[in-house]
Amino acid sequence: MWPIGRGDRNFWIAVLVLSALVAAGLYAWIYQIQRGLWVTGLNQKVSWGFYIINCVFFIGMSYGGAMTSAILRLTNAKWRAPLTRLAEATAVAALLVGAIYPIIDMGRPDRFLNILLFAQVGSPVVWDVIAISTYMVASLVFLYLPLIPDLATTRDSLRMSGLRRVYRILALGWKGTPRQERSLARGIGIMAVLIIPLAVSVHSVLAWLFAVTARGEWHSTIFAPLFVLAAMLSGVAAVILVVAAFRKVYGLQEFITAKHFRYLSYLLIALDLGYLYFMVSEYLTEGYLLDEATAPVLEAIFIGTYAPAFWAFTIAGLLFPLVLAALPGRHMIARSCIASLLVVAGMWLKRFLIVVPGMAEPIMPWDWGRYAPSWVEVTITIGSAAAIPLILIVFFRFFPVMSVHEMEEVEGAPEPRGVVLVPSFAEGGD
Amino acid sequence: MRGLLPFIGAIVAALAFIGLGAGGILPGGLRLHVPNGSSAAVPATAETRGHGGTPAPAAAPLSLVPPPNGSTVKLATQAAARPEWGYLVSVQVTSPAGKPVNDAVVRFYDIVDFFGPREELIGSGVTDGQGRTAITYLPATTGAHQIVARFAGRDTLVPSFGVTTLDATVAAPAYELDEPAFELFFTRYVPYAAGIVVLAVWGLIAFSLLSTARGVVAGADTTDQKGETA
Repeated sequence: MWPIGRGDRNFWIAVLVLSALVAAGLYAWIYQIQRGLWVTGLNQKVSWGFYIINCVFFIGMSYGGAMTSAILRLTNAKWRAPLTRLAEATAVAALLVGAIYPIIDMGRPDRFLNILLFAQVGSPVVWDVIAISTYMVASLVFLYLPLIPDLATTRDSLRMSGLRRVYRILALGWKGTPRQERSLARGIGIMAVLIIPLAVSVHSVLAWLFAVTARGEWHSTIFAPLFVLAAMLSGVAAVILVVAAFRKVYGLQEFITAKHFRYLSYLLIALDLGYLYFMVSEYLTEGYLLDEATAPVLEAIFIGTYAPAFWAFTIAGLLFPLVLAALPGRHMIARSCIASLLVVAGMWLKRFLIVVPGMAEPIMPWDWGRYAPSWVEVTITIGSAAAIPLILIVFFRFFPVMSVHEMEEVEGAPEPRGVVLVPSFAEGGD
Repeated sequence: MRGLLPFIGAIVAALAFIGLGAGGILPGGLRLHVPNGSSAAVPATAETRGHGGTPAPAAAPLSLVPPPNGSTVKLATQAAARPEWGYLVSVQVTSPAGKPVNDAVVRFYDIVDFFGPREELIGSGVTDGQGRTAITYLPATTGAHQIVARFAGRDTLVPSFGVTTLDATVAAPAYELDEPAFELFFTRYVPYAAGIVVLAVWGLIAFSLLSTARGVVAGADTTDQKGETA
């Protein structure tokens, strides 16, 4: 399970390329800090752009990963074993990236603490900070607890004393006794139950950030469930992509089979249909009412400036993936990956369609606002997107990509014999 | 204890980064445009209050020297006809040659302290044949107010301004929020109820982590309750 841990050239190429992209993003951020937010495409009328879109998008992606793992654990799905670790790690990586965006959007990161020091408890921004930080801690605990037995396995296989000490501390003296198993199962059970309402609350709070404003397109009671469903959809799609990538790179075809992708695709189809229903429900009720505040935005989205993005999202990001994932036949893995890729891209577009037209619509008798992202925003976006795979491949250089402990428990799973269970440094380096 | 060192280090690094706001890569401070066309740094003030709030301290660091060869903008203040109207702020604009400037747009500002001293527009007027115009002004607070009248210039007349101090003894009554009972209930108590839920969630997370850690550590070297040995 550690082919990259052997330190082959592909690992270092991937790390270098992704690090370069992340470094470019960091450079752009420092450039923005030095010169101010005017270097972005944000302006007086459209003051939310790529940063808020990316915040909602990446945190949503995180939510899907955590939910997938939690639901599979709570329903005791036997096929979950090779997937849960990847889903949990994806959740944490996406959350770490998404949580940085509100700070980037502030323009002055040195003032971030003011949100806490001068907090207005009635402000959704404060709720957002609290919800995201709570969810982040819960996600880290949810990732850590199932890791404990695997940390012990790694500890027992290592020769290097320094790293062995770290694993020994983290493994908490795990030996696999029945009492330890019971304690671990209880802890994971609590976190699996807790992570679902937590993730729902995080994305609901993000939605309320929009919905409690007096802007026509945003002021909707359906926004919170719509955001939650969108997050789950993009999250499951992201998990499919991550699982497919690591399956290919780590050579896990024996453990992660077409069956896993088929089941995940079922989940994707159900969420896709659910989102479609919510979206139709939202636009249908708004379209019939057509109140003064909402009508111009709906017009801009359906037949105006933003129509290409909206129809691209609806057709290529929702309907086509549905057909692709639902059709029976061969090439299940490839089809589910393409469908997931389209869903992820489509959901980003959808966030764009929520944020930008809602801001651009004038609430005073002015012209519509315009928004075009600058190179700074684009570079930061690319850098942050690269940070997720970078975090994952670095993380999985030190920790097992699949839960060995759970694999052993799952009935019918292939024995992890002949698979290298410890990282390369255990054998004395690359 | 040694295991905590990396975490403490990370927190120190984060605080150090935040501390960069005082200088380094972050912008140094607000810069305020002053009449002579240059920029002057405005030091942070301890008394930063809401919009339209406090008058600036007497020694405000704004440079208010009228330009040479400019028109003369002469300001005067007096109590208005009714106390609730506040004060009559009048101005006369004359050219460098001493002739009244008619049809000149004059804007009146009060220098307030809002994240540093700055000019808040309080009214405007157009001069008559004598170069005079006036406004009534009821300040938000009593005390000394620096009033600036600005003439933007016209034809060959360059922009200019005049300054006077208004020692206000009457001010607008304080604004009182008439909040309905339900709004008061919703905005005041619901966030606190949510806060209790958040605390409960944090408690559950801590319980989950700590009880698992305790169980795993304790279970490593002990005989199981059912008699199974480690």
